[in-house]
Amino acid sequence: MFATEADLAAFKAKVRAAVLSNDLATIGGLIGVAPDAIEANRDKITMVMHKHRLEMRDTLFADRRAAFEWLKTRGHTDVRGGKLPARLADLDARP
Amino acid sequence: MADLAYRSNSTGGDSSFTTATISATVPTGTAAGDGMIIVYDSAFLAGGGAPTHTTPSGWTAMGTGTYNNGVLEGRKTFYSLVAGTIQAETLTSSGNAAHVYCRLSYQNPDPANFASTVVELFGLLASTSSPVFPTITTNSSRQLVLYTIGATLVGGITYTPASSGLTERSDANTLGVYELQTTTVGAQGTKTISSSSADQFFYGIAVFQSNLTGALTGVSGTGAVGTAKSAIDKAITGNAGTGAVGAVTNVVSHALSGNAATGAVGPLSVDLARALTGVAATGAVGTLVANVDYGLSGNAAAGAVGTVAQGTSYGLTGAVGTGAAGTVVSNITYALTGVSATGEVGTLTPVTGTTLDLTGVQATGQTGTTLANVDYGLTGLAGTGAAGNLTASLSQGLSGASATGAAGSVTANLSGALSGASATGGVGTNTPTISYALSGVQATGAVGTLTAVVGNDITYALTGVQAVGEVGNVTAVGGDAEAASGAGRSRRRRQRYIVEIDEEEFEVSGPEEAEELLEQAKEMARQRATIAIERAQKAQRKPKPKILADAAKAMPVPTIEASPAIRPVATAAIAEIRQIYREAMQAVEMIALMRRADQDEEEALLLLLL
Repeated sequence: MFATEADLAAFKAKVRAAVLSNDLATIGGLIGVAPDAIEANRDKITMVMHKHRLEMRDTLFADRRAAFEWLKTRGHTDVRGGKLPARLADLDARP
Repeated sequence: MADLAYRSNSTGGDSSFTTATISATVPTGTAAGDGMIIVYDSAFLAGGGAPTHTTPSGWTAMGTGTYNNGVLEGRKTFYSLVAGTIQAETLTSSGNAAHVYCRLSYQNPDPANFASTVVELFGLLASTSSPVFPTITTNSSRQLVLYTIGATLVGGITYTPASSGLTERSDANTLGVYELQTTTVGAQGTKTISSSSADQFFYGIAVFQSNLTGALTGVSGTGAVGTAKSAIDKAITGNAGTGAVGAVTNVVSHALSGNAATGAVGPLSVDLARALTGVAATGAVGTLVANVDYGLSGNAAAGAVGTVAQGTSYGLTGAVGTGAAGTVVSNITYALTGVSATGEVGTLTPVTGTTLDLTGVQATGQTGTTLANVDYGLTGLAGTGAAGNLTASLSQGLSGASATGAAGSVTANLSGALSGASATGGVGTNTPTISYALSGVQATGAVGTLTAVVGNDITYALTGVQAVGEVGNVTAVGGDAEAASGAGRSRRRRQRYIVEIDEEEFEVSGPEEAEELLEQAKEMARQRATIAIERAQKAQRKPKPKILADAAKAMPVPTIEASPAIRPVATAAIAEIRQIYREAMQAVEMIALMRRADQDEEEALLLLLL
C-alpha cells in the first residue's frame, strides 16, 4: 500500500499527530469521513482515535526496554523501578 | 483458440489519503477483444470499516475481500472486462483513502466467461517474509490463476516468486501480481512468494478463462485398449472400424457412388470418355471387340459359329447362318438385314468400309469372333460364357459398370465426393486426415490405433470418445481429462492426521478436514469474544482493571497441536484466534475508555502508561 518507507512514515506521523492533538477532522479523513460529516460521525471518530491510542501504547509496552533507552537519551532521569514516566506526547518525538 | 497470453500492464498508487479515486491507465498495446483485469486495493485508517468500491461502468466486479490489521482496514477487488471500451478507468472508494492498482491485458479471453466461476480467495497472512498463497481449485484446464499480494504495514516491499510455475507480471507500490497458467483441473497447490521484508500480507486469488477450454466429457476407457489419442480441433463424426480391415484410404475430391466389388474379378478397366451402357460379360467369352464409329447394335454370338462377315457399305440386316455354316459374306453396298448363321459358324464379320447401321447381325453356336468395324454408337453388347477381356475404348460417361466374381481391384481414378465408402473385415488403420469435430468415435474389438490427426491443439468439444477392451492409456491432449477406470489403479495407504485442541485429540482425514475443525475453534473464539464484549458493556460499575481481567479470563487462547503435515494450518489458526482475542480486549478497553471521554486525555493516558 505504501510505495516507500517514507510514505509509510509520513502516514504514521500523520496519525500520531492527529491522535495527540485530538484532531477529529484528520482522523475522520483517514477513515473516509468527508469534511462536512465530521461532527455527525464524532462518536465513530472518537472511538477510532481511542483505538489508535491503545495501539500506540501497546507498541510502546511491547518495546519497553527500547523506550527506556530512548527516554534516557532524551534526558529523562526518572526512569527507575520499571516505570515509564513518559507522557504520550513524548511518543510523538520517537524515531 | 489459445491460452490467455499476457500483453502488458499498468500500475499506480497514492497513499496520501487525500482522494477517493485513482485513474487506472490502459496497458500499452491493449487491443479490441483483449481480456482486461484490474486489481484494486484501497485502505482507510483502521477502526472505521473498510472502504467500499464502485465498479467502473461496463466492468464486471468479481470477488472482493477485506482486512483489518489494526493500522489499516482495506479492501481488494478484482474487475474484468472483455470487448468493452478501452479507456482509462476511474477507480473509486467510499472516501479519501490510500490506493494501489494493477491493470493487465490478456489476449485470447473467453468472450463470455473470462471471469471464471471459481470463487476468488482473499486473506490476511500472519507476519512473514515468505507469504504462502493457499491452494485454489480450478474447474477447467487451460485457465489462468492470478495471484496478488499486497503489503499492509511496511513500505517499499518487493517480491520474488519462489514456487515454480509462477510468472511475475507486476511488482510495484508493494503490490505483486503473479500468474499461473494451469495445465490440470483441480487444486493447484500452495504457492510461495519471497518478500524483501516481513509483513502482514493481504492476498487475493482469481481465476480467468481462455477461449481454449472446450469441455471434454464422457471420456472413458474400459478393458484392453492400446491407445486412444485425441489431438484434434473439431468434430469428426460417424467413423467406425469393425473387425480386421486392411486399409481404407480416401484420396478423393468428388463423388464416387455405387461402386461395389464382390467375389473374384480380374481387372475391370475403364479408360473412356463417352457413354458405355449395359456392357456385360458372363461366362467364358473369347473376345468382344467394338471398334466402331457408328451404331452397332444387337450383335450377339452364341454357340459355335464360324464367321459372319459383312463387306457391305450400308445397312446389313437379317443375315443368318444356321448349322455348319462356312461363311456368309455380304459384299453389297447397301443395307444388309436379318443375316444369321446357325450351328457351326466360322466368322461373322462385317468388313465394311461402311458408314451406316449394321443391325440384327447374329451368330449362334460356336462363336469365333464378332467384329464390328463401324463408327458409331455401340449398345447392348453381350458375350456369354467364359469372358476373356471386355474392353471398351470409348470416351464418355460410364455408368452401371459391374463385374461379378473374384475381384482383383476396383480403382476409381476420379475426383469428386466420396460417401458411404466402407470396408468390412480385419481393420488395419483408419486414418481420417481431416480437421473438424470428432464425436462418437468408437473402436470395438482388437484395435490397433485410432488416431485423429488434425491441425492444432484441442479447441472444441470432444465427446463420446470411447474405447472398449483392455485399456492401456486414454490420452486427451489439451482437454479436460476425466477419470479412466480399469486396470492399473494403485492402492494408497491412508495417512493419519491428528489435531489436538486443549489436550483433546481429533483424527481428521487431511488438511481440509483439519481446517474445518480449526474453523470451529475459531468460531468458538469469536463467540467468546462477543460474549466478553457484551459483558464489558453491561459492567457499568466495575472498575476498568476488573473489566479487563474478567475479559482476559473469559478468552483463554487454546493450545493446539497437529501432525507435521497439517501443522501450518494449526499455527495459522492459533494466530487468528490470538488476533480475535486481542481485538476483543481492545474493544473491551475502549468501552471503558469511552465512559471517560470527558476526562482530560493526557491524564487518562498517563494512567494507562504508569
